[in-house]
Amino acid sequence: MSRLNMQERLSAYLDGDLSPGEMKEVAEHLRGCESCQTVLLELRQVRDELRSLPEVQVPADLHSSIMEHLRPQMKRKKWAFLRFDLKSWGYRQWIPVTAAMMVLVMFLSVGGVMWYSNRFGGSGFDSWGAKPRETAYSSDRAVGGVGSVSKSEEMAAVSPSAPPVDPDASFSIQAEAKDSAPGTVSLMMAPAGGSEPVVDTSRKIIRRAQLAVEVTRGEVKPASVQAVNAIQSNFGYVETSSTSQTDNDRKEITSFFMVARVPAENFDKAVQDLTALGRTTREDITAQDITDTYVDLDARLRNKENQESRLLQIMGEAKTVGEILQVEGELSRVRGDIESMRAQKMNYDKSVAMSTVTLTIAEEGATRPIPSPWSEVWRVFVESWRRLAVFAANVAPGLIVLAVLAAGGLWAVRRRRA
Amino acid sequence: MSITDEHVLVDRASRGDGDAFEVLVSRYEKNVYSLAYRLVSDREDAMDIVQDVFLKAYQALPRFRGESRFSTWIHRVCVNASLDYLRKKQKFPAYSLDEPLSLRESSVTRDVEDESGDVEAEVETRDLGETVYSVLKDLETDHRVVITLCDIQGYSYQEISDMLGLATGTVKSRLHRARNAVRKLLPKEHFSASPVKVDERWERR
Repeated sequence: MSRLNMQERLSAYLDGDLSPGEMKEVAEHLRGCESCQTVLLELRQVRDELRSLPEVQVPADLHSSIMEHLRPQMKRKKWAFLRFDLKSWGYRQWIPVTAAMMVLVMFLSVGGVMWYSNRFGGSGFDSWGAKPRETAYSSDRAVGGVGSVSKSEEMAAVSPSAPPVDPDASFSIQAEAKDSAPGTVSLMMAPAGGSEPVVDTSRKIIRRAQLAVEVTRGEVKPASVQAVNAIQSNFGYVETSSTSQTDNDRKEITSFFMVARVPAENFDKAVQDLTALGRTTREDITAQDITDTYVDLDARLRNKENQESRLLQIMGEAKTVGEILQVEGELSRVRGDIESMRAQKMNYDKSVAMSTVTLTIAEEGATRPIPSPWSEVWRVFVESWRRLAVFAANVAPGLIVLAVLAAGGLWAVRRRRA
Repeated sequence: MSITDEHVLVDRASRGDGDAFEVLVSRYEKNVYSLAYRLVSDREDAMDIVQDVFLKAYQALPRFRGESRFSTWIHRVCVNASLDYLRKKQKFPAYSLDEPLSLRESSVTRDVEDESGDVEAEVETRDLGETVYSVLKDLETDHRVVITLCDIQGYSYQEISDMLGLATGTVKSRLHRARNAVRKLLPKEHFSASPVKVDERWERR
């Protein structure tokens, strides 16, 4: 038996905190070991002296001073239900608040988007995409009878926009000046083409129509044929078209959809022809004035072209290989710019020359009335909850596993603390 | 554990009922105070600690989950607060008014009256257990806490193990080592005196 072990046993022996067998063992050892007898006596004296220390005298003002110390805290607690005492909030209190805030934010954001798109954009969310600087003119209206909106008035209403304020602005202004007095204004570098008018003065306007008509049941097919004919008689062409059957409220509905391009000068007539096919339920005419952008682009393009010829000249005069390489690098960059600008310009030219007409033909009962913003908000709200539910259902198995793990972890932590 | 009035009081207090908490305070303030005093051996500091303990307890009560008894919990808070205090004191020692002021040649006791306690009780303490008690200061903190809780304050092993978050076995062995350490720290002459009479309050154990 080691000494330390013996001493611990002696102390336990003193307290009677050993099993009967051990008590007996220690007692036997004590009989033959004088030093252990001394230790036992000394330990007993230590214990007894400590036990006989008088009880601590408690100051008379103990209670009052504790309460005095507590009072300010208690006063605050009394009104805790009015005051938001966030420090004492556990997750239990946060859950409903967070949920309520999330719902509110969802509702408001959806409402905001709907309001915004109904007010400013023709077709909702996609109106957020980046577009060139535009003075868009959009008339979004549901027309009861055959649409006879006078588009010429609308076109006249398109005001010339302010000059652009980007670094290339000076060129666009100079280009317009040049146009008023051809051949007299020279740009930074001599234009390659001499004195022919470089800028087309007429306004560059891209026009688009989004039409929807409703015909009696079974009349979709003949109406679609008529629509294609109307496009062709206006010297346009159909880009895409499709006929489809949809199950709307357990009622089979045939519908026709078409995207067509018609020459700008025949745009009004084409719209008129198409809206005459049936009851017009939608007639959105958009006119986008890209004159400024176009002129700007044109000026920048010419500047780049000039830069190109200048670079070619410099390259001819270059003496060292290093110089040539440097100029060549610059040249290829400029040529890349020129290519993309030309493509953009061609794209604009095409869009201006050929207006886009979108037409939907549907059977009666297929088109829903245009919803009010708030019913739309409600619909999107319900839809988002539905999706949330789907999300929850998908996530649930993973969450269950996580919950089990978390419970295990929590249990382990609590056990360690206890 | 059956539902006692203590549960009701704790529940009410945790919901901000100051009166219920005051009942709890009056129930435990004496024990908490004497424990703090035994651990830090300074009346004013003990008072500060007790005030702090009950304030902390009041603030933390909403999070008290009733896993242990309130009395155990409050003692545990007290032990922790006292140990914190001792740790701070070790880092920034302050002069005690009770200790003799050591000068170069002789020592002079500071002549400051102790206003806080009953003078008679102080004298009694000095007479009986002063030597043993003074030795306690030199013990390791762990040992000191256990021996104070067990042999001075008279808590059971179970209560102590709950307060300190230790197994009862650990409490026992610590206690024994602490007693042994005290025995070794005391001068030999101390034990030649006749053994003291044990207070009646220990007889029931």
